[in-house]
Amino acid sequence: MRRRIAALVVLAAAWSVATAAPALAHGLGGRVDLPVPRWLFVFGAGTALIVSFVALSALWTEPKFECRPADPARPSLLQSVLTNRSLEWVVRLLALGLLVVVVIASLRRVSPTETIGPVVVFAWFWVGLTFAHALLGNLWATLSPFDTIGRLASLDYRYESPPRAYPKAWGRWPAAILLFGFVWIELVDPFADSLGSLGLVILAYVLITLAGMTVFGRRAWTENGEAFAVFFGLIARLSPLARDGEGRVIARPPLAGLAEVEPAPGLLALIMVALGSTTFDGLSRTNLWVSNTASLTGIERVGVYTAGLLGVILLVAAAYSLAMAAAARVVGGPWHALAVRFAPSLVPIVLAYAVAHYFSFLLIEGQLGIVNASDPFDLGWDLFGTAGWSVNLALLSATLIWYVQVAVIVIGHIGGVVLAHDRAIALFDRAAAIRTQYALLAVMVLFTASGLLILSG
Amino acid sequence: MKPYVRWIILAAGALAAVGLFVIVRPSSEPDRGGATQATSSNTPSPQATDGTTEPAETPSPSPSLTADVTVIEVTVQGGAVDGPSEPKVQQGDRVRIVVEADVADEVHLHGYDLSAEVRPGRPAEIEFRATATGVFEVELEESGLVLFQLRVVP
Repeated sequence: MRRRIAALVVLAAAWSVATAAPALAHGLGGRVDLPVPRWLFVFGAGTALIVSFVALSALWTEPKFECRPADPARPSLLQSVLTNRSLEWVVRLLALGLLVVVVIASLRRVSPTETIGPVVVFAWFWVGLTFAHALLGNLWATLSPFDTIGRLASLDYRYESPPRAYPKAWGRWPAAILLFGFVWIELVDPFADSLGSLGLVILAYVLITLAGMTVFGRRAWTENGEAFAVFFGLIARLSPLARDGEGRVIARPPLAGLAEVEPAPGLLALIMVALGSTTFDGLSRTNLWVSNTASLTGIERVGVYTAGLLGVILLVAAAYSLAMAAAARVVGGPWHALAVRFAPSLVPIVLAYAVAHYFSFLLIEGQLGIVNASDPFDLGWDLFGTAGWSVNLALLSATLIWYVQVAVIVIGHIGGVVLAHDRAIALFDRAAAIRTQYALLAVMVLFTASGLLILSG
Repeated sequence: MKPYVRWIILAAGALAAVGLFVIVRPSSEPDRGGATQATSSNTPSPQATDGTTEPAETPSPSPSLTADVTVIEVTVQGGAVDGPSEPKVQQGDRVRIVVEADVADEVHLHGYDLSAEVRPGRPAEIEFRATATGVFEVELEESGLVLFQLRVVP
């Protein structure tokens, strides 16, 4: 029976993908930040170098994040609110309701800026929730409408085993591939010409998720295949807040959570997709890229953009692999194992890239969500009296944006260096640890400098 | 390594970063007036006869706003764009975008979200005050052809 449902779900997903006449992010991102001034770029890159040398010579010699004792959960009023099951379900159902609204709005065949769909998906959800996870911990565990649907459909298989055991060798690959699909739709915008496509894309994703949960069980699919659960979960490791095994909220030093990430196949790929896609987004808005692709339309444009996106992701992966191969020569052993071990130290850089590229997008284009909340389906409503408002394009001054961008890139670099150092001294003796860091620091300086270069180009 | 050595290295690093900031920062912010002169000279405005040319759009002209208009002209012929690819204007400037094309389409200035129809022989004109900084794409909406990226700098 369950198998038949799964087959139906997969068929339906395939159908909706095949017939999707899917108009997305670029309609939304009408404004791009001005390039960072050259001198600020020099300052940022120089500071990253200084930080790296200081880290090599002066950071702690005993690991601080690895093998920490469990942080205690303190009982408090806030604690009882945050662990209240009924309240949790109220939040779950509200988030599920929002998904329904977003899907209906995104199915409307109108310009992407007219409904609440695209702005909620690309600004509030994708950018806003990424930032929120870094500050507040894993909110998606509660907010995820996909997880809620899985629970409501009782795909937990509590009293039996799921139809298939999740293949360990797959690891996080399904999540990495689905995340690539999402950034492809966001940045390449393949269905730009067909309005209403975003709704079909979301429906297709719901079906894929349901299929995965039906076959492997809700928990296994959420951990490995649900792209946003895996991505947000990784970002949440940066946060000083987390939940312990019993769901109680605990406080811990920021970054400490990343030391506990268990290595899994595909995790590195997911990080490379996140890092490479943000880099490509910056690159695709430079005048060099725009003026060379301006005359491309239709399938040609999709082809060139897809190649660009894939190319940048592969370049980032190649640079990291090369550095790991160099580090592996120092300490011996396979480079790939080392690459997986040090992958979590790239997460602060992933977040820094995201903040630098998208915080003005969230605060400026995100305002459209407030405007469109009054008229979510573009039917002429004015629910909250905000329908007549317009976006304040001049909310952030160019100087403020530049300083924030350079500051977060440098802070992200510091976070990465600190994590890599901590892991290195936990894994190797002091001398070897320092020598592995040369290659790793080099690749981090490369990522930081190229991140800044794209911001200034 | 003794603890104080570590602190000295940290302090030296911080000092080096501050020093770098002081060294690379341009000695003075480029003054606004001079830059405006430079950019608006790329297309001298024909209607600088002051007062009469500004319609009701600016009811209270403040002294910093001049009657000058920066005009950006591009021509589209056979899918090719002839004109500046990255014109720069100063924040607060009045800007007029004039697009001539051999096709019928809609010219769209993203961000500010302004549009105008263009037809062969009937150029599109978009005039506005560049209040917000940033890079804004101007494209032919139907064909998706990007005409240029307008830079509004502070």
